[in-house]
Amino acid sequence: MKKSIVPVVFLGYFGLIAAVLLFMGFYWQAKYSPPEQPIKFPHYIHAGKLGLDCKFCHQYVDKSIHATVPAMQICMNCHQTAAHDRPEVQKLLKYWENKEPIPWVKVHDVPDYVYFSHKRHIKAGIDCANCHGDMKVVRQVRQTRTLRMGFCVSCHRLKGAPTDCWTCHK
Amino acid sequence: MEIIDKIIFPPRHDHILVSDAIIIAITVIYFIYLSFLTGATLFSAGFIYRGRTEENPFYTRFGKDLIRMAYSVKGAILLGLLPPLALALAYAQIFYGSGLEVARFFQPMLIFTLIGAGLSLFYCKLLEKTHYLIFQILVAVAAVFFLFLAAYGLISVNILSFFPEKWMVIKGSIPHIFDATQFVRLLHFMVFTLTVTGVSVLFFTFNLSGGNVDADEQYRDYALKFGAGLALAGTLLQPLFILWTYKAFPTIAESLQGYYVAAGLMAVLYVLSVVLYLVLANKNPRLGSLAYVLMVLATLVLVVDDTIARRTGVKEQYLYLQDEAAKFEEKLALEREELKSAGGEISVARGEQIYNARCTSCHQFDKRVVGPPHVEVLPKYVGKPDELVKFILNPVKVNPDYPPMPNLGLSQQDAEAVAKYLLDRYQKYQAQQGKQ
Repeated sequence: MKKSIVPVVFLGYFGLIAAVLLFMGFYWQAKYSPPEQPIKFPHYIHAGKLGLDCKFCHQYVDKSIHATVPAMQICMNCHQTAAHDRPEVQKLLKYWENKEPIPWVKVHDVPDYVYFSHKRHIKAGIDCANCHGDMKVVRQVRQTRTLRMGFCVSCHRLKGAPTDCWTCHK
Repeated sequence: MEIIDKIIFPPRHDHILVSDAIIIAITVIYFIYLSFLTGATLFSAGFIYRGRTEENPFYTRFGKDLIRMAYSVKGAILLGLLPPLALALAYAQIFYGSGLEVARFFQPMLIFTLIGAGLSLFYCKLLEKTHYLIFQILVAVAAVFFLFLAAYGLISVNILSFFPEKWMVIKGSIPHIFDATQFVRLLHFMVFTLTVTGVSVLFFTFNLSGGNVDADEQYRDYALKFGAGLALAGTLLQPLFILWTYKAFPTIAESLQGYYVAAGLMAVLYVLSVVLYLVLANKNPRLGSLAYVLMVLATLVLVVDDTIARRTGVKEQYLYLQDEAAKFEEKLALEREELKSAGGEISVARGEQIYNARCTSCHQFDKRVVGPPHVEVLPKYVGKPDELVKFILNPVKVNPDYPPMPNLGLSQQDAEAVAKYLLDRYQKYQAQQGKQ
C-alpha cells in the first residue's frame, strides 16, 4: 500500500512542475511573443533583397530623437504602381484609399523615464543592428535586445560613451 | 581555433541541419561524460577519505571501484577529447558571418577537459601506488575543478548561442556571462551530475557485461542503495532547477515549443524517478539498464530544448544562413550560365540576373512603373556606360515626376554588369525598332 503511493506522489510533483512550465509558456505567448502587424511588411525584401538603406524609409532616424514609422506617402512613392498583385500591398492600398492610418503595433519601446535619441546614435556611427538585430533578414519584427539599462550601459562602457545618470534620465 | 572560422564553408541548407544534429548528438555525449567523470572522481575521493578516517576497507574499495568504472570502458577517455573539436566546427558553421568567433571558446574547453580527465586518470592510478591521502584527495579535487571549468565553458557557450545581446561584452576565449541564467545552469549541472553518477553506478555495477562479478551481498546492497538513492535525489531536484532556468531565461529565446519540450522532459524525469524508486524499493537492480537509457533520453530532451532556444534566440542568424544559402545557389547557377555563354569580362547574363532580382520591382523597359521606362532615359547613356554605372551607384533625383531612386548598394562590378545588360538590350531594342 505504502509502496504504491510513492509513484503517485512523484506524478503529482512532476505534473505540477510541468503544469507551471506550460503556464509560463502560455503567459509568454500572451505577453511577449512578437505581435501580428496589420500588414506583414517584409523587411527582408525591402532592406535585404532590394538593399534599400534604412534611412530611405525611416527618414528621421538621423534628424530626430525618433526614427519614426515611415509616412504612408513613402510607401506609396513606389507602391502607387509597384507590386499591386500582392495581397499585403492591396491592404496598404485600401488604407491609402480610405485615408486611414495603418495601426502598426509598437515593438521597440523604452520607458518614459528614459531619454533615447536615435540621431545621437546614428551620428556616433552605431549600426541599427546593434539594437534592432539584423533587419535585412527579418520576416516578422520582434525585439531582439532587452533594451534594459544593463544592455545600454554595457555598450556605453565599451564605446566610451558617457555613463552618468543624466545622460539617459533627464 | 580561429582557423576553423576560415575553413567553414558558405552555408547551404543541409549544412545548417547537419550542424544542429551534430551539436545535439555531441553535446549529449560530452555532457554525460563530463558529469560522470566529475561525479565519479568527487564521490570516489569522498569514499577514500571516509574509508581511511573510519578505517573501514569497505568504503576504500567502493571508492576505488567508483573511479575505475570511469575507465572501465576502453577508449572512453577519448570521448571527452573529440567533442570540443566537433562542436567547434558545428557551432562555427551555425554562426557563420555573425561576427561571433564561437570556435575560440572551445580551445580552453579542450585543454580543461584534457587536464581534468588526465588528473582523474592519474588519481585512479595513484590509489594503487601511494597511501598519501592528502595527495590523492588534492589530485581528485584538482581534476574535479578542471572538469567543472570545461562544463562551465560548455554551458556558457550554450547560453551565449541563444542570447546575442551578450556577444558584445565577451572578450577573450572564456565566455564569462555573469548572469542568473549562467548561475542557475551551473547549479543544474551539479544536480545533473548526481543523476548521471547514480545511474552509472547502478549500470556499471549490475548491468554492463554481467556487472561487477567480485561483488558480495553487502557490496551489492550498498551499491544499489547508493546508486539509486543518489540518482533519485538528483532526478527529484532537477525539475526545480529547470523551472528556475526558465524563470531566468532571456525573453528572446523563449518559445511555446520550448515550454512544451520542457514539460515533456518532466514526463521523462517522472518515469526515471519511478524506475529508480522501484530499484530501491524492490532491491531489483535489473532496471538499471532502463534507468541508464532514460537518463540519456532526459539529456537528449534537455539538449533539444536548448537547440529550440538557439533557433528562437538567434532566429535572425538562421534566416541569414538561409538567405545566404539561397544566394550561394543563385551564384552557382549563374557561374554555370556564364561557363555556357563564356562571354566577355563583364557578363550580360550576370547583369540580367541582377536586373531581374533588384530593378524590376520599380522599372520596366518600355512602361512606367515606379521609375521611368528605360527607353526614355537610356538614350542619354548610349556610348557612355560609365555615366550609367555612376548613376546606379549613386542615384540622384532627375525628374520631379518620379520619386527618388534609392541607392541599392550594388558593387562596382555588379553595377557595370547591369549597365552593360541595359545598354546591350537597348541596342537590340533600337535595332528592332529600325526594322519595323
